[in-house]
Amino acid sequence: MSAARRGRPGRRGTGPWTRLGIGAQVLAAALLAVTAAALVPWLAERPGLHGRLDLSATGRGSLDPTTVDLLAVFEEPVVAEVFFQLPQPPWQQVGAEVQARTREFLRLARAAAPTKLRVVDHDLTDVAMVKERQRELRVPGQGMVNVVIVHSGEQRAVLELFKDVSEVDLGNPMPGGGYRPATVRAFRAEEAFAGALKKISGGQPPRVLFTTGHGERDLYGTEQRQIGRVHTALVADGFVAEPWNSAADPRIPDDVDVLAAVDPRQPFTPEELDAIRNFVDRGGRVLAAPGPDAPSGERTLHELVRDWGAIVPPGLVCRPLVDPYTKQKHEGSQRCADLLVSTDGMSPTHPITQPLYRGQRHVRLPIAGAVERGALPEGGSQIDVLSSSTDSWRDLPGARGTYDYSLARGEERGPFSLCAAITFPPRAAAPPSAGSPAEGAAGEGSDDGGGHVGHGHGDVPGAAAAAAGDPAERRESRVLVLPCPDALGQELFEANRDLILNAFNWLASRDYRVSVRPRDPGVAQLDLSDGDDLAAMHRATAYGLPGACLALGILFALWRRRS
Amino acid sequence: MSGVWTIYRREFAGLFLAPLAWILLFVALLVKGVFFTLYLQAGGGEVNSALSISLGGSVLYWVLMVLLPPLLTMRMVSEEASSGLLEFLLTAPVTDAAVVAGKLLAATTFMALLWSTAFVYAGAAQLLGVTPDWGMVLAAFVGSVLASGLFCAIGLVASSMTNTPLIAAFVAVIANVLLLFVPLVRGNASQLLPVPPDHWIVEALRQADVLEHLDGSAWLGVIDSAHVLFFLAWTALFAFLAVRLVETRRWR
Repeated sequence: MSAARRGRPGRRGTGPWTRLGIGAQVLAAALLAVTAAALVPWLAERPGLHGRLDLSATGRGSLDPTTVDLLAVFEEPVVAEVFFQLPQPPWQQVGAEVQARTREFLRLARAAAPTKLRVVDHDLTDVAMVKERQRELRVPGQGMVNVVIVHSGEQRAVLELFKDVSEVDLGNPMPGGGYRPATVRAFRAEEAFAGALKKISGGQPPRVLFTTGHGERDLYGTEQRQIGRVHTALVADGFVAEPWNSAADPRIPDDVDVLAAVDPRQPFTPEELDAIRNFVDRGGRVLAAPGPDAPSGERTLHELVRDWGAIVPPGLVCRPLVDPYTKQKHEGSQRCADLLVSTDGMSPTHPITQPLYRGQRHVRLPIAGAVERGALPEGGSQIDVLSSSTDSWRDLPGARGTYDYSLARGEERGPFSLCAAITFPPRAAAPPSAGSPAEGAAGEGSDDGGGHVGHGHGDVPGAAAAAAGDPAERRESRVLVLPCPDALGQELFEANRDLILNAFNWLASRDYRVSVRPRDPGVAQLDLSDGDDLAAMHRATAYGLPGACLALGILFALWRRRS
Repeated sequence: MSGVWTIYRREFAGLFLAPLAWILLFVALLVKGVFFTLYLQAGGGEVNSALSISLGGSVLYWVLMVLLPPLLTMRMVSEEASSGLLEFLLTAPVTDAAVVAGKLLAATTFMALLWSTAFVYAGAAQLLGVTPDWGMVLAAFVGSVLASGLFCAIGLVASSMTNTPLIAAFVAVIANVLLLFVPLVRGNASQLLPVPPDHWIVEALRQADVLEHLDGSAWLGVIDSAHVLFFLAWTALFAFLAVRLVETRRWR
């Protein structure tokens, strides 16, 4: 070994261990890079770091500020669970269109508020999983399809695709001259979603008490005339629905939002009457469904509603039956008292019937009485939410208390109010404010009712602290008079479900008609009628640009060859 | 930075020195032009919808997005490696990162040139008296350029892995297609994987879903910071991997 080599330190080469070390470093760096790449977009979605700039002319890429504000109040993320299934032909195409637009809206909503909204799209081929999930969400009728269930915590709202989110004209699927395809008449995904958000952000669920002990319909009963399905539906819609055991305690608790009296057959006690009156006078809400043939004397529900400006006269509202073949009208059948109220008989703007009106729905009211206007409380107003047709009449009972279902002398002709919504400021000793809204609260669903603090009720069972409290806490009193208890019964519940739930939601001030700005579709239409514009476009796009590219390429090649 | 600019200019000019880029551009412009008028006809003359289809809502868009970046990037590293030019480049006073960045920018610029034809289409519509939604076109263009950058970065990784351009292109196309399969896997997660639809795996797939990011912003006419950062982060990731692969050539 040479002296030069002995004195010089050994050279280090890239041996296997060195390569292994370098490889490990590279691998570690790569893993860190992947982690960073995954973390950066996640971080970018956090509030305060996330920004969106909508460049579109129509603002279609942004949520309405109302919706964004509604999402912002939630501490826990809102979850929108999508259960979509394509309808059967011939409505498959329109169903697919509505589903696609709804999914697009939900994508937009999630992109706009990624930390506030999660969207879960369920695979409906797994029917058992869908039913299980809907059971967990406590929605009625497990196996619901074409719904979006919006929930946060214990609160939830169900949006039906073809009722709440859109209106569809089913067209005429029959082949031939009369064929008309199904089309989307209106699409209101954001409005429906915003309404659902408002509903589930309400905090404490509204509480409904049902009067008992006077022969009312059984809240938990499942027989034909009982209202067990009302109870189930209210609970599913986020209400607390309980019987009022007034015999044990005639007071109405302060946290009750709505009192419902469904066909009481016996008079109330004086204590109960006072409690109910005071409950309403301090801004409470009542659903009064007196049976048309129920007693109407003192201390009955008839007398109560008279205090609030509604008179339920004796008799049943009937209408003639029309023979579908001969178009002749017939009377004398009990079926004449089975009313089918279409959109002609609905208020198009009241929160209870507006969705029904829009959706071209109808309601069934069998054995229904009429509602007449009495002396309204000061500042009060009454809206006829449902009305009978002009060919209806009020059939009066005969001497034996039976009906003949025929128009007789002395019987009044229609139309009649079949359901009246009464609102008035909370009664007080001081002069009330001028009027209350004629309809339920529009826009933000606010129901600030004005009026002064009342001091005139004394120490009465059920008197709320709010009666002497902050005026801003008091709200308008609402009474819904529907003299047709059978409409809430088991048999007709499904047919009248929307009416019933809308009624309770209106009474509980959950009439969430959130005003969302309409979106301009931003149409920019080229005139294709004479073909000139299309030809010009075709020349520019299919010939002009490629031709320019080809020419440039050839010129460039020639220039290179010369140089 | 100056190294990046030098490499970028060289690469971009080099793209047009070869006939491949011209042919690709010509064919792409021709097909896009023909299909644009077809979209117009199908939409009854609705310009905005035709523009949005042209910039993301059509199969043609994704065919171009999947095929063009690999074809552009396949020779950028692999052919230079096989011809010996890469060694010359690596000994130049530019970092490996600058080399990769310059090449990436050049390929992305070419794709941006292709997508910028949407402005020409919109301009033509404007001249014909119909005002298109310029904001939507701009946002969709930005989204397309960002997506193109991601696919070009994937192409560069593939090109860095091999000395054969065709293999590089093939690998890159496969990778692009797999990336576009993510929404399909996500949509069928409950059948393909034994997980419920709100499982973290499904959420992770959503985060990696390129279509989801474009759908929630660019195609709506929105520039969303989260989606922009997604594309930039993942482009940077693949560029980083390409740099590491180029680096390994030094000690092979």
